Amino acid sequence: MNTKQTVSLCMIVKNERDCLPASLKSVQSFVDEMIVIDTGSDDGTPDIALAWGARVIPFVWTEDFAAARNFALRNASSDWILVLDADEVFQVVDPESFYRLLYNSQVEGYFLTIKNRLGPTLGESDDQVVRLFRNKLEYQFEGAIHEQVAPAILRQNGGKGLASANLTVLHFGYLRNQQIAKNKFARNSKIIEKELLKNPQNPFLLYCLGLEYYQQNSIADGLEYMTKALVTMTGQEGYFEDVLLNVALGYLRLNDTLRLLSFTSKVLIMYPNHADFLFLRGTAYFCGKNYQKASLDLERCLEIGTSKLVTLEQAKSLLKTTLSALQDPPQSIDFKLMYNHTNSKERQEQTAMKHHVLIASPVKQKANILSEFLESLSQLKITDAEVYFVFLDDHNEHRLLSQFAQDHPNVRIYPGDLQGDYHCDESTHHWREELIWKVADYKDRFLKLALDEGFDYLFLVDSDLWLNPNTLVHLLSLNKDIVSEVFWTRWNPDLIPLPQVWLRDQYMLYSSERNEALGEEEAALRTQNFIQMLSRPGTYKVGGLGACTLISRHALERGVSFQEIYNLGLSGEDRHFCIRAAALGLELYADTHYPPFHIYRESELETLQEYKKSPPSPVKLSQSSAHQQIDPILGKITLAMLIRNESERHIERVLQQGREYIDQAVILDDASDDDTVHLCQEILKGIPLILHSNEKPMFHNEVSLRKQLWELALSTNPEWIVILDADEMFEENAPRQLRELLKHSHDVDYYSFRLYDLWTETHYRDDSHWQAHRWYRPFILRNVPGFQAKWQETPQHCGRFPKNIIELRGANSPLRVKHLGWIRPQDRLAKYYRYKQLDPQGAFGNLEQYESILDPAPNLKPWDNS
Amino acid sequence: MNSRISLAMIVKDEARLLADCLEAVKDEVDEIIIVDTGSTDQTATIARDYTDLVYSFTWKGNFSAARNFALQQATGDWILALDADEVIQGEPGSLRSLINNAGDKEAFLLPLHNPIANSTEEFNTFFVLRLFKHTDRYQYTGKIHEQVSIPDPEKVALAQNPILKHKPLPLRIQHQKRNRNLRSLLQAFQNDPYNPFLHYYLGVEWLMLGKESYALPFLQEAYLRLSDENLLFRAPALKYLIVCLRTSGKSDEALSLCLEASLNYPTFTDLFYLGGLLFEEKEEYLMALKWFKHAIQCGTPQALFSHLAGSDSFLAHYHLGFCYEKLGRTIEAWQAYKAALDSNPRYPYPLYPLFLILLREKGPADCYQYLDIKGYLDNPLLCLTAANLFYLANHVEEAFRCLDDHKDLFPNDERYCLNLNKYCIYSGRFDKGLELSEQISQNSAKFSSAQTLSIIALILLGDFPKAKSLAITLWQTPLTRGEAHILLKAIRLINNETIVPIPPKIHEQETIPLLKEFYKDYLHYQESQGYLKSGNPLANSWGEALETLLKSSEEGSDFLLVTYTHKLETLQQRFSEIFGMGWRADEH
Repeated sequence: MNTKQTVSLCMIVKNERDCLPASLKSVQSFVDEMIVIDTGSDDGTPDIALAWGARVIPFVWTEDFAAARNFALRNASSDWILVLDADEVFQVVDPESFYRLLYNSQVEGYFLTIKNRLGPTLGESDDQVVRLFRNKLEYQFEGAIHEQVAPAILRQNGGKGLASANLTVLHFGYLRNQQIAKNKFARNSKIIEKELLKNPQNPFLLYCLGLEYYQQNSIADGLEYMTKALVTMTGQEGYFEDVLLNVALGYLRLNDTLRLLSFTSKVLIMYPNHADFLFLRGTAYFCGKNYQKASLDLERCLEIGTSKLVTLEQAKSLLKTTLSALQDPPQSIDFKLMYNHTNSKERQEQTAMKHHVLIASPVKQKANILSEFLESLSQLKITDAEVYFVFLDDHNEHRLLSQFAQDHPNVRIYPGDLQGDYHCDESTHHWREELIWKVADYKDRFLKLALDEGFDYLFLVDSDLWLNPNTLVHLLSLNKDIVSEVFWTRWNPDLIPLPQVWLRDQYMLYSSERNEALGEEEAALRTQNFIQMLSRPGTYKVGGLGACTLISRHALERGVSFQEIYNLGLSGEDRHFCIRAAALGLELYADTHYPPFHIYRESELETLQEYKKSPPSPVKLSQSSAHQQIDPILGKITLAMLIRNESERHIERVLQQGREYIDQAVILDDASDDDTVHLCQEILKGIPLILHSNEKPMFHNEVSLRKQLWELALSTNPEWIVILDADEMFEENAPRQLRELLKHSHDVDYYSFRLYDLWTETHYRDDSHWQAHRWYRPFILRNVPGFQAKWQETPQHCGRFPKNIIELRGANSPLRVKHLGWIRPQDRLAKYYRYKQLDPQGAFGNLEQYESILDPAPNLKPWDNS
Repeated sequence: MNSRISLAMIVKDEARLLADCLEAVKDEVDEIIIVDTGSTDQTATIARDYTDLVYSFTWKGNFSAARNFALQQATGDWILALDADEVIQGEPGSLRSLINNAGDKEAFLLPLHNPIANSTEEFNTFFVLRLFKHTDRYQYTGKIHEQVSIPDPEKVALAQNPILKHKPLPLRIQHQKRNRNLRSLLQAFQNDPYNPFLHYYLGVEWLMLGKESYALPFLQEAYLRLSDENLLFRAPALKYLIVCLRTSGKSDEALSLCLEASLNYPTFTDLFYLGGLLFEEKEEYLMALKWFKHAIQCGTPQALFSHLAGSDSFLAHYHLGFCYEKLGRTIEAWQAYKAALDSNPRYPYPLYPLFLILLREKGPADCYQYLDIKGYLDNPLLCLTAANLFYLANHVEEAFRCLDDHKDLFPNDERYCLNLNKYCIYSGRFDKGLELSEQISQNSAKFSSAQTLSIIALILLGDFPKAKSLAITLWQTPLTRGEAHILLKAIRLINNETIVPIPPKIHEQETIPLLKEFYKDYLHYQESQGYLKSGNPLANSWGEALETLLKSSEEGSDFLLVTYTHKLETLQQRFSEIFGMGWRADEH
């Protein structure tokens, strides 16, 4: 096959903080780069995009969607462009069929199906829009709003080149909170009205404006525009039917039964077999209590069976109501009830951006332990999730579960109906085979329930756990199909704690090749390594897990189950579940950020109280274990810096500040020909320093220098690596805070900061080309074992860290970093000349920014020292 | 109670300037004190025409001592201090109205215009403390560039009126003065090496004498040490420092200074203008554009900043135009030149490039029309300039029209007559040319030039006897023997007469430049008559005669060769424009 076809995601955003992650997440694994054009967010959207690994480029909004889209295209470097909006989610397909599309040399662009969730009363509608197309200069968007790229592609290819792809994008745009919708409405309607001024009779613009009003719930206004659009149309327009449908929906929503009836009747003369209009007229008749005619229309509608507006079930349901009304006419009909027929999915839509999670647990538990479990459930944070509970009450003698159901909404309790019991005492629990399969059966019932009721996730938890409040939110954020939060159990009071996850077979805690014969020592060492890994906060692929497991809808649909695999000899339903899952192509993950407390025996309830006060970090946990092989993380800080001829510049104050918080320095000197090296040695006297000087300068190839510095830093086995340039320093009071921050960072691998381009000692620059301080960028990274560095291979602007550190866990710090490099005017001049020489076309940066370096009267803001 | 003003001056050998100075100020003050420090000319006599209070003071090499002596003699409530080379300008009574409305102010800074070139109205404005309350507290200090020090800045106000106009001195005298100043300054500097004002003055003097390397450390010190409280000195020190760095070839340092200082003084227009100039010199035209535009946007800065008039308007526009042209943005260049001309019609230089753009883009007829419609031809200076430009560009017809259509602008203007005369003759209007020559009187400095033109006209008309007799008259004036000699020789050549040898009084070197000029004019004539038609046979003979004369010297031959080559190239270009590129290939 040819070389790999690459895909750039192009997205325009403004204030999309809430929905952006879902969108980027949905597409992340399919694209090679994500380009996010920010048209002026003030809600932190760019930070989120950056955190997801997108390239964020600011763009001044010109009230022209096509212009913004084309700007995005200009910045894309892949073979294909995938266009998404932030309120759209790319529906996952298998990668193979996605990539197959890219290798079809006949096709220049694909139509994708956009499923629009139009809102509470309008249901769902589909559009076919070209959103995946080859990255060619000629393929540009046209049209200030409802911009399209298809015309350009067709023009270039003599009317050919487009095909349909079996890819779906879910558009949630109209379901989001009112404020965003309002802003969007204002923005869109402004654009359309502007276009209408030029083109007052354009039916498409009128139709669009009508839609905008509909989405604002201004039905009467919307209907007016729809009607206006309709009278200027010939009937040949591709969207003619849509206009008709929307006019009818307008009448429906205005309760105007008579107009709805006469309008749909007229339309049905033109399109006698149109299921949607039959359904709508049926509805109109129903409302007019003409059940006879209503039933005829609805029956016809079901016969044709191609309604865009409603599902067959919905039509059937209305027909059923109609027929029974025919038998027994109701006194009055609440029109609103009608909508329920067209809106059975309403609940899902309203909360479409939230995960629906079913928390399930089979319960046979002592009261004192269960009450801890239930308390931790009620304390779970549930941001971005809508949580339902289901319990199997397996012959408990207390009423704790019913109490819980009274105190919480969305709780269901099923009685346990199967026989079997198990015995436990202070030392260990004795499981009988039949009991195991009883529990397996309970769990399978939960799986089916979650699948049938359309839940996004099932969270299966054992009732002897105390969960950290962050557990659920965190597990959801991992976006895994199957992931367990790891807890540690001393199966016997004399033994070391062990996790409830393993790598293979029954409970193997080390990896080995099938034919690899391991000595006992080696096996022990590998086991130690695995346990050591799990004692660091992280998410790791494992082979077996259970007891505290989040299962995605995708996994449910795949058919995961606890049912016995008859030809598998391993014991325990979890093993059968895990092996089946692996066979179904699902991966199992263990997460160690928020270890639950396993109340394995009643005597541990006391320890739990301690644990609740300060949930120990996984590291401490492992220290308390018998192994003791892990170095304590004390937050040792290594400064890594690239220097070249800095003696006239800022190196002195930068390193002086460094002295206040670093434990060690690694400096790579790019062949300075002044006394920089000596200077560094002087300033850092007393601090361990590794200073390497290159013989020849390599500043023309920054990336190779960056890699060299990186290797140099790693060779000293650091804990935290701070990479600063010789003209960068933290704000005045940062050193002390940094030490504290890093000492207590167990679940963060890198910290990002804002970089302020100081133009004078007291002011920083702030204008469209100078916005570094608006974004967070990484400066400090944990030395994560096993991390494989990948670099952005451009000679300049390659980044100080490997590009894939974003795969690690990042956090933003409010501390600010000063960039001193622009303060001296001679440096500004020199940099300007240098950029012009090294990158005359602006290939690695922004030409306009280079040219803005020497602007007269730049916009400066005071650096607030407080 | 009306306050009285005493004018206090110290003078030495200022006979040439003193009357103008006193004439302008005599009605503005109540008494005039003149302290003469040892004049050997008519200074004291002239002074006595205006005042009885003329004192003689023995010069002790100390300006302050002399000034303070003058203060002692004054009886007024306020002192106005002037130098003899300054003329006060402004509404009558403006001094008096200043002090009547002084409130609690005790001293005024007055604007001093220091011209760069009188004709184009380029001048630098400085503010100087010259009007202050007459009290013992205010005395002069400093041996040279003495100043009255007013310790409380709250007591000092800035006045816009009246203006002191500094008269430029002849270069020789300027240098004399500078050398004298320099000596005193260096002496003062020895005694007071940390005085930033002395650094400033020394820097300026060295810079003006063309010794940048001497000036630089002084200006750097001055800029460094003077604080914003002395902005009156710090601002010009900064400007001079930038200029000094630039002329020392340290343009990046100059630019750095502009970048830095412009952040501290964001309204100091001149910094942006100077920055623009520096970028322009470095061929960073995009940058230069930004800086010139910003200078225009800044406008005239607050009075405390030393400001070059025009750096926020016509000068900046002119340079904008240049940069636009360099960037190939012709239309914007055109607009910029136009803006420069519009904001100061007395500054004609933007007309040159504007003219070239118009000629190139629109051709001579439309170019003429444009200049006419925009009113530039109604301005005598621009009209003459435009005419000359047309003439030099071989569009003698338009040159003629410029002047002929706007004759009302030039009543009794001999320069006009002479130029028009030239354009008449070289556009074939011999009779009219001859007529114009007669309007220039025999006493005029332009008479001989007019006569020369007449002779050429007569040659081109074939009236050789008359031409010859005029040429002989020309010969009789020693200053025009060169011309006369060439003309006489040419007449002989045309008439196939024998050539008389060069008379000993004429050196060949002197005639060659004249010959070249004649020949260039001849070419303008020929080219204005068209390339392809053979013109006046007499003109051809005149040309041949000039060529023969040129060929007789090596320098002349070289000149001809260059001219031929140039002409050939122009012709080829014309041909290819008219017939396409093919014709050249046919020849081979």
